[in-house]
Order: sequence, then structure tokens, then C-alpha cells
Amino acid sequence: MRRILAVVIILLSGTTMSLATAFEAGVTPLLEASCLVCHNNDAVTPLNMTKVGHDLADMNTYRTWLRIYDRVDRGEMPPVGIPVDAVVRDAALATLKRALISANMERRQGQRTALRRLTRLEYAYTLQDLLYLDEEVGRALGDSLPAEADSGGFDTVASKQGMSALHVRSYLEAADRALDAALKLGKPPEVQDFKSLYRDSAALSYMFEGTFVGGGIIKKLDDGVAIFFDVGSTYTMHSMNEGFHVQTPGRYEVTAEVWRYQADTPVILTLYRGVKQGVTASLDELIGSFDLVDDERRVVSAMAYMRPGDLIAPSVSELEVPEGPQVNYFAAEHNVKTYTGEGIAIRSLAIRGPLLESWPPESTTRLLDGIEIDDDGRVVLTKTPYDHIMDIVRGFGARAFRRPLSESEVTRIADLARPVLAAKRPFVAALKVPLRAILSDPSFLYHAGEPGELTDYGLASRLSYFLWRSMPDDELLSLAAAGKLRDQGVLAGQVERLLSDERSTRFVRDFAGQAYRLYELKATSPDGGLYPEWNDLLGTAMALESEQFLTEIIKENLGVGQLVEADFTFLNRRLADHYDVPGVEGQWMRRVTLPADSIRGGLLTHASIHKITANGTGTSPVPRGNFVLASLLGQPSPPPPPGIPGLEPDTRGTTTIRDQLSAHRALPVCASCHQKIDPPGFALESFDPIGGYREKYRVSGGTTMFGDYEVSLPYTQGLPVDASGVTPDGDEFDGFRAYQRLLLTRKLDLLARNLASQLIVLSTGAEIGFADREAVAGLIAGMGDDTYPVRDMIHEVVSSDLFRRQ
Amino acid sequence: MATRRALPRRTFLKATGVAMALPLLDVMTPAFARTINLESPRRMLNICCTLGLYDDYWTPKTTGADYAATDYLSILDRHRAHYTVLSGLSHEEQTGRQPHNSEITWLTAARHPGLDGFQNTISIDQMASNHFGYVTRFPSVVLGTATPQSQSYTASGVMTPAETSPATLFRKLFLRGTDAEIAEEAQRLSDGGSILDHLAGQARSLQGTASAADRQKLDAYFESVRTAENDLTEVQAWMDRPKPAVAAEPPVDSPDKADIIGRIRLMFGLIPLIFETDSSRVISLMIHDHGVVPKVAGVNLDQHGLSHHGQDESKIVQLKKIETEIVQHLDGLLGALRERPDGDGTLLDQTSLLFGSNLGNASSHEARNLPVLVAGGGFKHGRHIAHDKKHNVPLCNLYVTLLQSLGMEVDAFGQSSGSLALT
Repeated sequence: MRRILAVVIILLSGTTMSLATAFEAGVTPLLEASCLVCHNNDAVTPLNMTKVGHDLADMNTYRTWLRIYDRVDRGEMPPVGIPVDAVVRDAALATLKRALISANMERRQGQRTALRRLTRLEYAYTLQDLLYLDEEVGRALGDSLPAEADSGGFDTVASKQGMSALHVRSYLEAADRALDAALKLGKPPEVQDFKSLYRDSAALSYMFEGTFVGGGIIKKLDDGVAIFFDVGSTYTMHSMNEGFHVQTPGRYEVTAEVWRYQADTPVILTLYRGVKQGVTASLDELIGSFDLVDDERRVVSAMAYMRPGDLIAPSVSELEVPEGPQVNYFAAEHNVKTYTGEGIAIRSLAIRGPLLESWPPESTTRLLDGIEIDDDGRVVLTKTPYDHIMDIVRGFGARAFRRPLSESEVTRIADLARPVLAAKRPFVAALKVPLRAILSDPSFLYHAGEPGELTDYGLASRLSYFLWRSMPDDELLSLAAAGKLRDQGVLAGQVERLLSDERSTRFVRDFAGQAYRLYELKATSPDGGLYPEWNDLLGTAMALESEQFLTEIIKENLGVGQLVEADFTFLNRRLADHYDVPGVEGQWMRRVTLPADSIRGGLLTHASIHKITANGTGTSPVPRGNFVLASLLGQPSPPPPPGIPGLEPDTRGTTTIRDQLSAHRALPVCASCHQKIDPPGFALESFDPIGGYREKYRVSGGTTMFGDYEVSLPYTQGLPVDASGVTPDGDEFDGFRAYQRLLLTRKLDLLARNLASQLIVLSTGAEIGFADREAVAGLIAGMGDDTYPVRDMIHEVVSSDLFRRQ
Repeated sequence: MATRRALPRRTFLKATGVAMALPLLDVMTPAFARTINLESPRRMLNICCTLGLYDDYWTPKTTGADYAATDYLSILDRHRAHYTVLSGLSHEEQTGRQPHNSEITWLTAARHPGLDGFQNTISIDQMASNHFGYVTRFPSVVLGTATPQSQSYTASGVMTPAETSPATLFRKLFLRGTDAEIAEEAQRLSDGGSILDHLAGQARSLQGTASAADRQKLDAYFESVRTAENDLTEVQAWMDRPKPAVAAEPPVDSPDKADIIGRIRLMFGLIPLIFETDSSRVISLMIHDHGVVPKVAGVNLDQHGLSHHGQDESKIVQLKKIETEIVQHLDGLLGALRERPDGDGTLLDQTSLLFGSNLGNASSHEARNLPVLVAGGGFKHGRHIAHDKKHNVPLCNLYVTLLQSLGMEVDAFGQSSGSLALT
């Protein structure tokens, strides 16, 4: 014991000489026996141990020793073939562990989380809830802030968050716009009530005859029109062509009267919001999709937030095209009059809005608390302007700062209005100055908290930003005011309440977006020649599947193993077709119990995950293996050493990426990581870049000229997929299913520990330090249920010291 | 070096207020005094093709002054005496969290972009921007063809968002608002000034009780508020000075994301205007991955997919069509900068222009052997300077040279091991 103490003290003292002595005793024997043979001055590896210093207060040195510890601890180093004495190794690990914990504790000085600010997303949701704004308005305000740094992990982590003059200017401008959006005085805006009967459409009249390129693709019917091709909707059917122009931003209700046309199977109508792009329109956001299963006319409806310049376009998806001569929209002949393929008939498109629940809106009446507004929408003061401003600052400030303000704070802020009032500018202009100041104040922008146990108010904020990604509501704030929130039972009750609230979907979405990188889902567009079945509908359904699956796991308190393997998922017909799951009708997402022989179930079978870990053309086991290691197991691999070229996918079909990787792994410097990275990647080779199950790779069919246009030829089937492999533990697997089993039997506790870690990092805004590892392991072990139910885990996280202390 | 033209720059500008918009600073170092005009300001322009440039069509096989131009370079050959092609340059350790992360460090050279613990560092254009400050209406102009993502980072590693709308940019640069708009903006800035002053006080009062770690964060906030205050004062001062009037028609934005080339044309069209009105001396343009099939004849796959050609001939053919059009527009830009007189020479002579990519081989995401072209800047040109393909020379050595050419006293930047002589 005395010896251990000596080591710690020496390490803390920070002199290289003494550190060298400590390492001499503990670590050097291992280095000399098993490491320096490769990691020396002539090293081909990126690590030269003779050059690594001993000053763990230096962040880089600390990280290097941490990585050495982890790789030795996990048995990845020394590699096979290098002898290692277990006693020497354990002694070295013990010395290193103590030193790393000390260094970690020393650095943070009793405070895991430094002052962290609202992320862009938290800012958006907070403004939405604070000012009672539409979600879309909040989102646009968040998007106007500087982007969060792309540094891996969660954007809540204080040490990664930037602050700059650009931020400050953006906060001021966003606050200005937020207040403009919230304060709506004067007369209510006119509600637009628009309806187009397509049969009588002036814009379409020339389309019916089709004597020009791009025409002749819409068929006139007795009581509407029929459309057959999604390409046409970008320039024909949209609301701007029909003469609708949004005057006031807001929520609009969109309805259409539609039925199936010349079809025996269900067809899909889609509704998009977009903007005009020259002569065509972009279809930016899918606002609704509907299966039309019979020839009866029905009314479908969707809601959209629209701004001036926006349009609505109906379109079609996945209509079967018969054999034989096609309608050719690149030429005037062959128009739709004689076409026999599936289509959708539309009688009308109607758009109504903005939909106002009240006037002035809640955002205005809430903000102008204590002020009357007359029938003409003018403010009527009942006190002096300054007294009103004091009242508003006191009330609004407490919600914005998530704690009560002292009277001197209130005065200081309200006084900003004095010069404006003195200059005889309008009351609202005077009010806006202190409100803008509040929305740029450090007490609004940062999550406050002193070292030690969080106060009730600190706890209220941490909890609501964890599970709602936004400010605490009145109930949380009043519990904090009453000093009750730190009570274990009360806190657990609030966790239940917050998780059951609609706002918890924000948490699931942001967690999945960052932890499983679902935010990157639309980063690549699949090669249309190789993956013609890709479209927006599929992409949208993919994202929803993963979000709703995670929501269900939390809601039903299912075990963490369900992330790897589950007998259910969430599907609509489009995604069910993609997954080859029968019996799912309609375009709404619902929970589906999977057939026993389906390969689906669990995150690793979700098309979303397959897509974000592929580029548009091909897949590589490397990013997919890294996904499993980093996102699921929390053991990311270091980057490749400098000078190692990346792999080039070969879409000509002569070699598989697996062959290329085997060559790569022949290099020892590569093998030490790739023996971990490649196996999960190999198992996932059974899924193509858009998540389709495959037994053979697709090979590009090349292109051909069609008039002036180059079009892709159909793909062909290439080499077979080999999804087998051997894990670093020596377990062989013959395909994806077997690998799934191995993850469940061998890595369940790692999976649980990583999920708990991710939840703690997101909620506390601090990485899991070396000194926190035992606390996390203890949290998992303390659950008393070796399936690690996820809702229970959230409770454990919230009641842990990691969460409840700064 | 071009000779002085008969027509002075100012005749391109309408008279009002222009003289004031052209403050002339002596920012030259003696080393460059021989080749450039002392009275005319130095400028910087950086353009990045983030999806790479196909190497076989870019990098010459031969070196020196009589290098044989490749397919792409032959497009630019009429300007041959005005630029230098450099090969064998790169930043080290550009493997990031994402394979395209090297685009965020092209102008900064920070290592391991996006990996755990990563923090970006200042980009060369923002260093230049800080150097010039508000001597022009805009210390720097940051442009992008598709999204607000840029390659311009502040000293604290915060990205400066890119302007994507040429019409908006034109309005900010050259168009005067209505009197009511100007009055409202002035009022907003003045309110903002008193708020910033108050915020600095709020931060100060919190600093008193904060822990060491929190104080660091509050310091950063406080400094940001102070800088914003200074900026605001400068912006207010510029509000009182009329904007330069230009003869050019305001551009109409191309709303179609697939119109990559059209958007590049619009942006390239504004660059000479920005420089000749001295609205800014520092411009960076990021040519993004648009994520769609670009409107280029004979192309039916998206550019990112094509950049991963995997040596598939049919893909390389399409890729070449896109990249050829980009280089053709660079040719037009070089021409436009050479046509306009500036000081004793041309705008190009006064501008250190960097064109290239953060990827050497985009198909494998390799950030080595980057395509690099330097034009103008008073350098000696007309050569292909090749460095070792296996042991690349730091691209930062070139950056040091570029910064020095602006009159900045720097002898190191990022990963530099010195400067790179272009004399």
C-alpha cells in the first residue's frame, strides 16, 4: 500500500525524473519485454514508445498512455507472436490505471462538466418552448447559428463547443427574429382558402395534348386528371402553377381528392413541399404518402409549414409500367391517351391557411403578460411602460434562465429599455431590447452549475435537456422552487413523466442522430443505375423505422440486446417490400412482428444503418465494422497510420472489397486493428448500400444514350457475397445471423456499458473520463437485471452521481 | 507581368463615394516590392473543389517551365505565364472521422479532422481577414456553391458560414436599401451595441464566482462579446459610407441544386467585382458536393458517386465532363482578373489565387499529392514544381508564402517547415 501511494504522489508531482522512476518500477518491464521490439525509433507503427513522455498533465501524453492501457487491457497488444508475462503485464496495467485515474481527477478538479452552452438543437427547441413558436420557426432559428464542430461524439460536450464573435452576433440576430415571430400585433392575417380543380386548370390545358417535349404526360378525365410519372410533378402539378402563392408563413392544411387509376394493386400518392426552381420545382420535404387501394375517390390530407415562395406538389410513386411502347416525355409522340399503365387520378388540390388557433397568437399574449390587446391588435398598457417591462423581464427571465432572477438582475436588464423609452420609441421596441439581451445572456446560453451536487434548478435543467432537449416546464421549475426535485422518488416520477411526454421524441431523434449517426442518412445519394429502387419514400421510412424502434425499446423497457436482435420492427408497405416482409398495407409506420425466417430485427438490420455506413455505390466492411465498434460497443479504432492508402471500391465486379482487405491485412501494422474492424463489417456485407439483403454484389450495367440523355442500363449480378469471418476472440461465424448471436452472447455487457456511457455523455455534456469507468461499470452491474432494460437504465443514469453532480 | 492599361480601374465604377471605398494601404514587404505595386492592395482568393480533380487529367507528367500541359491544364494554357502548378504537397494526418473530413482542414491543416478531441484551427483566409480587418467593408467574403458549410475557421475553430446566394451577396456589396430600411438597421445596430455592453457586464459578474474551468468558458464568451462590439462599431462606420456602384447587373440566383456549373459561374462572376471595388481583399469559395446529378451534358450520376470511380472508365468519362466545365470557368476567372487593371498591373497580379482540392485521389479519399495551382500574387510563374510523391512537402509551406505575399509577417503556419519559394 505504501508503495502504491508513493507512485501516485510521484505521478502527481509532475517531474519527469520521478515519473520515470515510477514507470521504471511498474511499466518499463512490460515495455522492455514486449513493446519496444516494435515501438522503437525505427518503428513502422505510428507509436514510438521511446518518445512518449511521462507528464500525464499533458493531454496528448495522457491520451497516448490511455490508448496503450486500453489496447493492452483488451489483449489486442502485444500482438500474437510476441511473448508477454501475465504478472509483468498486470503490474504494468495496475500502475498505469492508478496514474491515469489520478491525472484525470487532477485535471477536472471536482468538476466533470465545465460550463456548457446550448447546442444549436437545444437552442431551437428552447426558443420554441420559451416563446410558444412553431417547431419550424425554432428550427430555422437554430439553423441560423454557427454550425457545431464536427468532432465525433455528442455536440453537448463542453470541451468541444466553440464560442466566437460570430456566435454572439448570430444570437443577437436570431433573438431579433424570434421576437418578431412571437410578437404579432395588428389585424389577423387573411386566411387563404385555395382550391384547384385540375380538370379546369389553365396551366395544364396545354399539357393534355403534349405536342412538345415534356408534354403529353397528364391525361384529362371526366372529373379530374390522371398522372403516371413522378418526373412530371416537378413541373406540372404543383400549387404555384395552379396560382397559389403563400402570403403569410404558418401551418397550412393540404387536401387532395384522389383515387387509383388503371391499377389492380395499391399505388402511392405522395405530397411534397418544395420551392420553384426555374421552370421546375424541387420536392424538398415529403409531407405525406398514401396507399390508394381501390377506385373510390377519397380525400387525403397533410399539414405543412409554408413560407412565401413554398409550393405543394402531388406526385406518384412505384407505379408499375407495362411492357411495350412507353410514354416518352422526351418526345412529343406516344402520349398518355393510349397508355395502359398504373396511375393516380386527382380531382382537386386544396390548401388552407395559415391556421390560427387564436389572434393574437399564444406567443404574443404569453409574452405580453399583464398587457391588454385591443380589437385592432394594439397594446393597451395598464401601468407605466417601465413597470410592465420589469414584470415581463421578471417572469420571462425566470423561464429563460431556468431559475428566478434577483431583483437587481431584473432592474439591470429592464434598464436597457430606459433610453428607448426616453427616445419616445414605441413600447414594443423598448420591450424588445431587454428581451434580446436575455436571449443572448450567458445565463440563458449556458447550463449553469457549480462543482458538487447540482441544485434543484440545475437538476431540473439537466433532466429536461436530457429527455426533451429543451428547457424545463412549469412543473419541473415549481418542484425545483419547492426544493423537492432532489428527492429520489420525485425525480424518478419526473423521469417517467418526461419520457411519456411527446417531447421525448426529440431526445430519441437527437440521440439516434448522433449516437447512430442517423443525421447522415441523406448525405449520399445511391447510384440510380445500381439501386433503382431507392427513393425518398424509402429514405423517410428508414429513418422512422430506427427512431420508432428506439422509442419502443424505451417505452416497453426492453433489454439492450434488442438493439442487436429483435423479433419486431416498424414498417410501412414501402419498407416492408424492401425487407420482403409480407402483409403490410398502407404507408403509415406501425409495429410489425417479423416472420421467424426474416433476417430483420435489431439496429444492425435497419436499412438506415446500412445506408449511412456505405457510399452511394458500394459498401466497405471498414466503415461498417467501425460503426459496430464505435457506436455500439464504444471501442473505436484509431485512425490508420499516415501514408496508408484507402481502399478503392471496384464496381466493375472483378474483385470484392473482401479480397482487397485480405491483402491489406497481410501488413502487420494494419492487421492489429483490422482483425477487429473487419469481422463485423464482413457480417454486414449481406446488406447493400440501401439496406437490401443480397447474396451477390450488383455490377453496374453502364449507360446508353437516349436522345440527348444518358441513362443507366440495368445492373447485373456479380460475385457472391461472403459474410463469414472470425472474431478476434477466435469465434467463427458463417454469416450475419451467426455474428448477431456472437454479439449477444459475448458482448452484451459491453453493449450495455456503452449505451449507458452515451446517455451520460449526452446528458451531462462531459466525456466518460478514465476515472468514471468504474462508476459506469457499477451502474450497469447495479441494475440487477442482466438483460439491461433500457428504460431502467435511463432511471439509473438519472439517479447516478455522474448525473447529479457537476 | 501585364503592362499598365490606359483605362484606370475607377472608370469602371461610378463616381459616388468610390474613392472612400478604396482605402489604399501599404502592406508590402520589401521582398515583394520589386514585383508588385506598392500603392495597390494585396488580395487573397482560395477556391476548393472538394471532390478532387482526376489526377491523370490534372498533374503534368513533366516538370519545369516546359512541362507538357495535361487535359485540364491545356484549358488554362493561355494563362500559363501567370500560374504555377505544384504537385507533391499535402497536409499530414488528414484521416478523419469521416472520409471527406479533410475538406474542413484544407485551409487550416489541423490534424485528424473530426476525430475525438479534434479542434479546428484558424484558416489562412481568416488570418488574412484578421490582418486586414475592416479596412474594407467586409474583412472577408466566404462563399459556397450549395450549403453554408465553409473552409474558413476562426482562431477558436468556429466555422464562418458561407454565403450561397449570389443575389444576396450582390445586395450586401453594392445595393443601397430604402431610407426606412437603413434607419431600421442603424437602430438595430445601436440597440445591439447597448445590449453587447450589458452582456459583457453579465459575463464579468458571473466570472467572479466561477470555477477555473467555467471561467475559461466565460472568458471565451466575454472575448467574443468584446470582439462583436468592435465589429459592430466598424459595421456602423461602414453604414455611413456609400456602397460602391457597379455597372454590372445584379445576378439572379440559380435555385436548382443540380446547376453546379451555373452556380460556379455566378460566384466567379462576382469575384472580380468584389476585388475591383475593394469591398473585400479576402475571398474563399468552397465548391461543394451537391449530392445530385449535376446538369452537365452526358452526365447521369452524381458527382460524389463519380468521384468514387474505382477506375471504371464510363464513370471517369462523366467525371471529366464535370471537372472540365469547372476548369473552363477557372479559365474565365483568370481571364477576368487579368483584364482588369489594378495599380501598375492587373487584379490578378495583386491577387494570390489558390485553386485546388483537399483530396488527391478522391476515389480512395486520399488527402495526399493534392492538386494545387497558384496564380497571380506577384510570383514567378509558368512552371510545374513537383515534389516527392512519397514524401510530400507541407502544403503549409506554400501557405506561408501566400500569407507573406499579403504583407503579413509570418514565418510559420500549421504544419509548415518553412516557406516555399515562388521566385
